[in-house]
Amino acid sequence: MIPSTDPIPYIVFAYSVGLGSIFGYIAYCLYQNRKLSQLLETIEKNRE
Amino acid sequence: MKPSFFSQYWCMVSQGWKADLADKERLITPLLFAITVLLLFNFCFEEVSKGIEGQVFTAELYLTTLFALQMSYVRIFVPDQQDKVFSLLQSYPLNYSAWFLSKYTLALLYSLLVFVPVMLLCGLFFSGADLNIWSAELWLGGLLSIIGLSTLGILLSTLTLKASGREMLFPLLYFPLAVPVLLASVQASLSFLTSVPGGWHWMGILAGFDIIYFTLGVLLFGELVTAV
Amino acid sequence: MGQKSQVSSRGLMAGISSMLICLGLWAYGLFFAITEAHQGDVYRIIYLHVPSAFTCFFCALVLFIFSIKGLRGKSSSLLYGKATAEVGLLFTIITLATGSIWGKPTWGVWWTWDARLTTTFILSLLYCGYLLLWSAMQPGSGRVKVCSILGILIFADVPIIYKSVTWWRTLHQPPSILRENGPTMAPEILYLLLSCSFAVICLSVWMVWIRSQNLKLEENLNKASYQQLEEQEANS
Repeated sequence: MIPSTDPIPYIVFAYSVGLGSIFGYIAYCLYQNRKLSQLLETIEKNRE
Repeated sequence: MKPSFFSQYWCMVSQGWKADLADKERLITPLLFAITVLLLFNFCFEEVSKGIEGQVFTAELYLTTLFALQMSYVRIFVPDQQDKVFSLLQSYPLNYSAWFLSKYTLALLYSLLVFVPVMLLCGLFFSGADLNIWSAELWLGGLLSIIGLSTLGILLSTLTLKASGREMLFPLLYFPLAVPVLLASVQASLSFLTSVPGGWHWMGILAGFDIIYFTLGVLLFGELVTAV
Repeated sequence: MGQKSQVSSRGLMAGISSMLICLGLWAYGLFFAITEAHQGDVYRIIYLHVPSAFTCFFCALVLFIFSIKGLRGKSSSLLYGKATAEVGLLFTIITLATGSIWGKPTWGVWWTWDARLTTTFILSLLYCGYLLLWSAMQPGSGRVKVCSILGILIFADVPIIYKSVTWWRTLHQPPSILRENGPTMAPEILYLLLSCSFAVICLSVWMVWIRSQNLKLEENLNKASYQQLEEQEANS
């Protein structure tokens, strides 16, 4: 039996939570990678 | 001459027992904690309606035991650490299985010191209900659950030995990993108490879990004590 | 200032490709795939929920492999282990969230103590425990071994928890893909679901890789900072 409730809000909610978490995590990782690389480079330059 | 496996085991059991007897508070505290938890449970549940007495009994019994044993297990290496026995034992050419078994025997003993009074007190509090707390199967189920919980307790206590905030970390690891044992023992006890078939099926599962945990304990303990 | 990133362009390309494939498959599942006869359109959450569930259990397997390597003395595998636990936790949370959202219109409740939900919930707690233990220990060979052993314990416990909870109760639909008499799903849904699962697993592998690169960078940064401090002290 097909549920009588409107499925759109549930689908939108589920995909926003899921894709938001995955791409949020990826964005955070890429940002962190960039920051850490910059920091490391600065330290190496200072040492030189 | 290197002492035999059994003499190593026995020496560590007797020394551990003596060290714990010297600090009796450590033995009594989990039991007192268990009694307090039982009291709180009875306040929360108030009058238990007929038909769910068995469920409430098993829930109280196993949750109280689980909470109190967590206190026991997290402190199982405390006497060794205080007197630097642990680092000495690490440096000796010990048989790690004997070491594990000795700690395991002590953990079983402490668990029984908590489980038996809790079971009797639960029986007393539910004396008005038609529950047969003297059935051998019920006690066997309790023993099997303690066998599984003790193995996990020893493993996780060793695992968190050098972790900062181990008192907080231990229950976080212990409770989720103990779910299968808790579930099987609750189901087995419930079916024996309420005479619903399926109790022996759960006992078989519980015994299976015990074997798996015990094997993991024997295999991993040696690696752990050399690492911490 | 030149910004030398540790992520190579080839690595970045691999990540972008797997992201695009995932997005494409999800878009196909949302807008073009057939409607399921019993559940209607709400079933489309399956293309996110089931791949996430596969991935969180796949991460437990990967964590086990890194833990075995860690026990054999390969200390770098601990960084991969930590990254795997983080990604595993992320997908476990997504599985729980999407399962809960899907449960409301189909079962009528947001949450029920069903076997698979309970197992996934416990798995999320175990991943949290692993990550907490990792941060609670001092870096060194001790941490490598201890965390590796916990990784093995988690992997060994997951099927036990799953079986015990399944014997306890199950409200969740029985397995639709991995069953003895073949899958019950319509082939179009099944193939799309399997493709989605494969793509999400690939994406998760890339996520583990990039996170472990960051952990390595953090480690190098710590070493470099200490060296700089020592040099400054020596000069003064």
